[in-house]
Amino acid sequence: MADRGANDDGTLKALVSAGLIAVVRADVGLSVIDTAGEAASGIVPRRPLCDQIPALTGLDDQLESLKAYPGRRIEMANVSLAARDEVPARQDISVIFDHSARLFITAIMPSLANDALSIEREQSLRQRYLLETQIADQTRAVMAANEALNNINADLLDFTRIVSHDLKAPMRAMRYFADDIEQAIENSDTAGQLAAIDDLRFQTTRLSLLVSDLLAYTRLDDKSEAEAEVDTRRLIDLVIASLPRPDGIDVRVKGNWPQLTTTATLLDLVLRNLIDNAIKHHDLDVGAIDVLSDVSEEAMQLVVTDDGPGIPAKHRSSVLAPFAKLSGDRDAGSGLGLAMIDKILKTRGGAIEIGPRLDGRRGARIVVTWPLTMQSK
Amino acid sequence: MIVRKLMLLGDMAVGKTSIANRLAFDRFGESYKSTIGTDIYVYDVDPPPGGKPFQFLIWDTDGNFEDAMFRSHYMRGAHAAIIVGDLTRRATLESQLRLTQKFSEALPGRYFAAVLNKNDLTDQFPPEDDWLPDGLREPYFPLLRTSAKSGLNIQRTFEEAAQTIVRRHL
Repeated sequence: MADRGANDDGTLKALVSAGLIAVVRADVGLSVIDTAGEAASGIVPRRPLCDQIPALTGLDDQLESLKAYPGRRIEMANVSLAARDEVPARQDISVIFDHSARLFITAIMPSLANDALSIEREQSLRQRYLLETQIADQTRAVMAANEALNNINADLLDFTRIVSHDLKAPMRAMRYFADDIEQAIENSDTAGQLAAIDDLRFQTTRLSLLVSDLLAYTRLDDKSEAEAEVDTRRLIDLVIASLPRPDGIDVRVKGNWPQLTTTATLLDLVLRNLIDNAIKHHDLDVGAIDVLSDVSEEAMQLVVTDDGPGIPAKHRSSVLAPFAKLSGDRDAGSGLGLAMIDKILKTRGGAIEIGPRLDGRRGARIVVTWPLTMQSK
Repeated sequence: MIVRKLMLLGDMAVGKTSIANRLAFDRFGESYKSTIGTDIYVYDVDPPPGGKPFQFLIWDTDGNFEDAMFRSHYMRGAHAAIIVGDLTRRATLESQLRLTQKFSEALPGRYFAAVLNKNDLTDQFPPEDDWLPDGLREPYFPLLRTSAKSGLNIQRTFEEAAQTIVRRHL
């Protein structure tokens, strides 16, 4: 114990045999406290060491066990009592029990790790560890960004494939109708010419609609859409009034339509497409479409219920993809309506759910959750 | 006077020393200097009316000890632990969970709590809790978000620890 100080075993034994507790400080030489209580260092004899040296707090049992094993010691390196305005000296604390004298001997020495070189080495190791941790964090972030980019690229590729296919279809049809017109002219078939021209006109309208919707769909990525105060009741009335529909199809507005601060154009687009879809895909001369709104603290819930043909369960998720159409429904629109709604909702942190009517009757029920505050996704 | 030894555990640079400094001296240093060995801080908790004075000896440990801490004399006789994680580094939260498990195994029945520190750096971690390791989303131990920089929940963490220790006679 005294190997780092000016003490040797002989001195310690002499101190112990004289009934003294020895507090050995290698930095200042040997300090001794006698049993009468004259304690220059503040250590009071006969009081448990654990009460006097904070570093030994809680070690009563450990200290007691040293009595049974005199060869053992408790050692704690680099301990300091932190102080407000000074750099505390770091110390190595060592406690042994002197069997012959039945006294604990505590050695408190300046820490070996306290020299400048050791600290510098330790700190450079730690800095390296921290840098490695930061690099690992950044690498993970870059990998996540790469994965997101790969997903975007895959989506873009799918989108391009679908767009090229769906643009080609009406153009191919136009070529066929041009051939039909030519054939009808050669045959002097005026009625045939007029019918083919009608078909051609329909295909150009379809192509025009497709291009307009495509433009609207791509513009949804523009996040600069400003929020404004919107009277949703007035908005839904305007949307319904602007949509052409057969006389037998009734659109009914129900529920609570609040005043909101939100992105008006996008909400308009969602409502317009929901109702337009329900009208366009209705297969009967007479029908009813109910548009219900309900508001909670976090979101406005829009429920559109119709009594049209409904959407079969197997198509409910695929109809959200761009240009998705159900079979037998080739001419009803561009196939971008629900895709636009889905994209808007994903951007805002909302959701769309497509299902059957709750009352078991024919028709579809679409529930849109429109968050009151925009959540970046 | 009730004196209890409380360990501050957690990975390197999660803010253990900053928490101890905020608590004991009400200060926060911007520069990082890692703890080598152990620093002991003394913190007096205001006793309830009629209660005994209560003092924590807070052992701010070297984060580099990791699990070896549980086999060292530094840990012996500890009455409690506050286990610290850094909200801006997820790996430190995994370590934090492991340390809670190790502490409850090494010192069964002793009080421990976890704190998610650096809560002031809100631009460096997601706002929702769903990214946190499972054991920290629904913990079976006390868990608070703290900021040694602003002082958020620092005193409260230690006051709650003292109250529980007194109530349970730990």
